[in-house]
Amino acid sequence: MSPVLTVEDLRFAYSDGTSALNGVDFTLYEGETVAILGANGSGKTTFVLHLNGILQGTGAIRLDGVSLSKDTASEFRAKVGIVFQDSDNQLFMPTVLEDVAFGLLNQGIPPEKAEILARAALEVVGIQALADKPPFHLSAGEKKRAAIAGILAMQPRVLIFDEPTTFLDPPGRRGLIRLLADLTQPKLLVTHDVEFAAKSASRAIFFEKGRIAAQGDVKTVASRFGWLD
Amino acid sequence: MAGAFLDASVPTDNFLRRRDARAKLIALLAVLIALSLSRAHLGALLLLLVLPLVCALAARLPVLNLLRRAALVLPFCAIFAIFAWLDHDRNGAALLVIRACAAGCNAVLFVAVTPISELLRALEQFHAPRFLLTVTQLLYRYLFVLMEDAQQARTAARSRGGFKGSFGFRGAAGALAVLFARSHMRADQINQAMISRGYNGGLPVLHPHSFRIADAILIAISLTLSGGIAFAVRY
Amino acid sequence: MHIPDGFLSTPVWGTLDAVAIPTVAWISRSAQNSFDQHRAPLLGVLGAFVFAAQMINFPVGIGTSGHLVGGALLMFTLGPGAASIVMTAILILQSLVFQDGGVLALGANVCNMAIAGVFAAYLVQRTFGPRRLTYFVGGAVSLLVSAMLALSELLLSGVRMPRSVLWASVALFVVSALVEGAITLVVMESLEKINPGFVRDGGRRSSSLIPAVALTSFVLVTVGFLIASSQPDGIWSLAARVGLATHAQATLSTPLADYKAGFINQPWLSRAFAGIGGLCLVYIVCWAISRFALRRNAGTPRSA
Repeated sequence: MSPVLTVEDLRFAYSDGTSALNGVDFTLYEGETVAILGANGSGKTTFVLHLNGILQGTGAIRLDGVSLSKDTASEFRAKVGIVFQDSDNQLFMPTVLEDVAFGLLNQGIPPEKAEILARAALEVVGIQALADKPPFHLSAGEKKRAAIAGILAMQPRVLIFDEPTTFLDPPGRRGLIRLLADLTQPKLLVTHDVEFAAKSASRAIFFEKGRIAAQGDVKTVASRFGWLD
Repeated sequence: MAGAFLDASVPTDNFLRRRDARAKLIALLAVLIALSLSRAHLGALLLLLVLPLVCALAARLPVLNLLRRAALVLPFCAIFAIFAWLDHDRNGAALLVIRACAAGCNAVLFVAVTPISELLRALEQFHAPRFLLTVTQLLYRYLFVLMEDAQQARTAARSRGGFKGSFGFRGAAGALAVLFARSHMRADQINQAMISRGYNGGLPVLHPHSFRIADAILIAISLTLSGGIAFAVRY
Repeated sequence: MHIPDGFLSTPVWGTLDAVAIPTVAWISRSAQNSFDQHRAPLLGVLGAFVFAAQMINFPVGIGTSGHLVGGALLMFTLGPGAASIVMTAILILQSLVFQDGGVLALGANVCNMAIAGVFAAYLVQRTFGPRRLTYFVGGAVSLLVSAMLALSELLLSGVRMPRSVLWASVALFVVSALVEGAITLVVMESLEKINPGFVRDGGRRSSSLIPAVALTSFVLVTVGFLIASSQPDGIWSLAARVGLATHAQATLSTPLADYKAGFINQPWLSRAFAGIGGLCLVYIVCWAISRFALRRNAGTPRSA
């Protein structure tokens, strides 16, 4: 397996001086899905916000050999797609289709082609029928799928999901697990949901006090920190 | 207030819905100006009150629903009608109510056949400032999301006895401050999501409008009608 | 107080639209140029917040409750330009989606609430600096100015009401203004506790004399406008008393020289000119002072 995303000695402190990341080393390989576990405030969300340049710490981040810097930041933002916990924050356009097409139109793709690509992305997540609906009328599961479609339309290299199961009911959660299995991009899942992580991820890393405290098989890691009964 | 959300119930296929938002906006303004110019002419006012209702019927819109929404101006009207009545201006009072209702009906018809995103797009084509329109579009998008947040805060307060007494005032302020802080965090994340997908200062449009002959006809009819009414009222 | 369509006379809404449109365009463009366009989501979401805040009721005694109007709160957290834009966006949606306020009357409502109301709070902040008093007075003056302008415009349009009702409304406005001041104060205090970064400081203050004079004259113009518009002869009688009338009438009638002289004596026209005169005065004061303030602020970085 070839490495896709590598992180070396990543450190970050918030402006008030609290250190959030204390030297994180991590590699994401082609085709794998990695669960990121850890208590609230352990630094896992801070960590993923670095991977597409929203937050900037010290250390090195490379995607397919290209280093993240000021010049490459916009490329990273398109290539490393983050799906937020609250899908509403990601669906800011009046209709689902317009939202999915947002990134494409910003890349200068002509409207007719953007619409075709956007509809294709909606088909991948299985909500092509909802294209013209305002996001407000969607269920939590449908919103999550619409948000994922908006990211997929950008043709990302890596997908990151922040607490994707939070607002989902059991059928929505099952649907998400199936959808994730169908997506071929390497994935990172920030989650508290060990069952979900075990079903979707091939391995897990556990964050504690801003560094990776353990990694390995999902259930083994989770039980080591008392996350499994 | 969520009931006021019209987008979902707007039939997507009628002769008014298909018109370009620019044409509809011009028509609305023309009718409203005619209404303003025929302040004291009962006939003209009634014509402009009936006209939108006929259009709504022809477009098979739920007329009762529209009337209910247009009636939102009535409380404000009623107050001033009573004031005018008290000041022995009974005609003025009646005309005021009819005028406000007629204006309300026309505005409601416009909203019922024009999605807000098309309206904002039309305003942009009329060179309204883009920054203001971007803010307006985002405001509309998050209106109902924040109302749900506020609803939760209110329910939480009510389940603990509501905001009452002198502490209640502070309690309500605290709830608002928390709502404000959450809105701030939400805005940060929306900003991140927008930047991640290449936001560069404007919200792009997927379906550009095409201005058709029928749109020009709509403008012509509304201008002729309004001009005619204004002329007839004057002489 | 959102004025619906059908209330304002053509000259009044026409003048106010003619004042509001270029002013909002100017504020919006200078906002787009001077502060980060990435504040658009923040402005939009905080606008939605002000909408939603109306659902939270504040008990004000004897079984009644009030809610936040928000112009001053936005001004204290976002600064004057951004607050005006957010208020304008709110008014656009209230008028075109919720039938709260008219379409032709949008200019009037924007002038009253998004421009004059926000500007009043701004002057209060410049005068008193960062203090608790500022929040209270800012909220109160902002609402009072907006409400009195709205009432003046209605009176100027020929909406009639008995004198006693007029004074009762003014008393009601004062009470609402005190409530808005109190709500603004307690919410701002809570915000400061959560995160002092939410509160935008009014910039470096070298002197509070000029803003104080501006604030006083601004409030006086508003009050004078209300009194004048409640008099039968409008601002003309006021102008006559201070000896301005002959001069003003000469200036105003020059472009109308071709028309017969009696034209200007038509009551609606003189009322319209009274309105235009009063509003131009307010507009020029606003413009001059904000120009002055902008130039003075140019050196100091704006907090986000």
